[in-house]
Amino acid sequence: MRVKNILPFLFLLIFNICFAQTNESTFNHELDFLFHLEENAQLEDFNYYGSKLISEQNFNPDQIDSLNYILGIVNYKFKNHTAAEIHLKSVSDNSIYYYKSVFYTVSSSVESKNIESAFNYLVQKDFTGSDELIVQLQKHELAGIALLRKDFALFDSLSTSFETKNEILKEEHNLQIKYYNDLKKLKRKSPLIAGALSAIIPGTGLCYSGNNGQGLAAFLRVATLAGLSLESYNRLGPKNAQFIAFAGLFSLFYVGNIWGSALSVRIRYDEKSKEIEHNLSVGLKIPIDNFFQ
Amino acid sequence: MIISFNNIYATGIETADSLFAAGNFVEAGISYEKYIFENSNNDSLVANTLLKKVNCYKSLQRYDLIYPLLFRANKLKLNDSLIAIIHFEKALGCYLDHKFELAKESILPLLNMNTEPEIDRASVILYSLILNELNKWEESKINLLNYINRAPNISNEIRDSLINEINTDYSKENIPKLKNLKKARLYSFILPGAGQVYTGYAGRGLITFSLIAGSLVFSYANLIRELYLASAAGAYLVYTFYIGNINQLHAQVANTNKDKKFVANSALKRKLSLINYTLSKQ
Repeated sequence: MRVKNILPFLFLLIFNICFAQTNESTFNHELDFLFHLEENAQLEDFNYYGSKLISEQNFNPDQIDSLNYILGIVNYKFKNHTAAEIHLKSVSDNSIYYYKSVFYTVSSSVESKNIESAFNYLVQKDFTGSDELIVQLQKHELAGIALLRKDFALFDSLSTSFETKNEILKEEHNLQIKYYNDLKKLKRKSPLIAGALSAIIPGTGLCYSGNNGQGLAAFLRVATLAGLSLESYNRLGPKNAQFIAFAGLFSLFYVGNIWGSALSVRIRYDEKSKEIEHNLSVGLKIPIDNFFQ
Repeated sequence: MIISFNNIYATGIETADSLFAAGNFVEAGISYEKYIFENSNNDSLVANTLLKKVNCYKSLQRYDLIYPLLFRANKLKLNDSLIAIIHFEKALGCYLDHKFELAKESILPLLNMNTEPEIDRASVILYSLILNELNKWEESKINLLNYINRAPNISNEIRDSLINEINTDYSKENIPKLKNLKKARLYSFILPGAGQVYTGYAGRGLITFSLIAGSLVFSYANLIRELYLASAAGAYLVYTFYIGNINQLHAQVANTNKDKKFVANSALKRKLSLINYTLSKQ
């Protein structure tokens, strides 16, 4: 009698084990095929097939997480950041790939210049109870992103509370402080002063903003036109067409130089700031690569 | 009827072929790839399936993917006929992708192989098309004539008519006379603007000439009035316009030649397809 009662349960158990094994072997086979596509640089097929596998919902949540993770990382490797972000963000917090996916999502957003998206995504993550290194990495990434957003107040607050024993993070954080100071120094230059300097001596405004070569070229241009105007004025008089043409050109270049000098402060700021932003982005990537690869 | 990945785990060449027949080229391509993945030990099967995937790429007009795809075929373990087809498809892919040097490089090994008559004919025609794009019209003509002379199963009457046709198609009137950059630069060096007139940009040539002549007059007029600075400025303008007049010839010659080549090669393409049709009927 007892054996009769147990039989259906036993049958169900065996069926479940068999089904799980079949499912696992199908999944592994599909993973191998995805790797085959990646190895042969068939990225379009890889994405199409991988997305199809996810949308078919024939696998368990852990397997779907693995698929999203693989699709995300491969797309990240091929610098296909939009697809990388979509898949990495879909990895659930139960997955063993969760932390890696979170930080590579951030890295992908930063590389595709999607700074706001990176910030909003990372700031929402609560890693309390996680490994201390993960918490410190989150702080480091947020501090770097704050600098990319030119949010100096946030950087200050994150930087003062930043403490780590990890050498890589320590080194990268010191570099962040250096970039922070560079950015602050850059901000101090005034377009008004640049314009005023160029009004007194043409080209000096450009030198003030840091473009010495351009400053010298502007000075020579304006000085030549001034010389031409003066020569024509002395020899031909103020009503002569040649004098009027040269004087007109001189005025145009003189005023243009003042205007250009004022603008150059902004342009120089953008150029320098882009250089610092690039260094900051690299500094955000290095610890992620070091911890997870 | 639209056939799609109803069962994405389905494998087999039949599934892939039916997807291809239904015009679902992306999924057909993936199905072929899966077939390759599952039969990776069989080099001949892999090569044949790669060729089927090439057809998917052609239908999708993704010619850029054909050459790297066929690079995966292990030629050491294939028979000559399959190797010939791979060389041909590689060259065709490069030709369609406008990579003519690479197309030539891909088709050259095929020309020295003993191949089936159909592949032989197609490769000769393709080689001539490639040579036309590389401005080697004389070489292209010789290639066609050589083939006509050795082609089997052609009556003497048709042979003579095809030879006449090729000689007419590649006659001096039908081959573009390309502008020579060195000649254009020499003309502009001697008389500013003359190089532009030679390359077919007469308006620009006239403007360049006027600017240089005007600057020269301005410089001289100021020199005799003892306005040395203004004279120097005029001389500087003469120098700038003169150098500019020579430097802009590079792009102008390239543009003119590109247009000439396009017209001539389009006509030759049509004529070669007719010759190919005539030969295929023999």
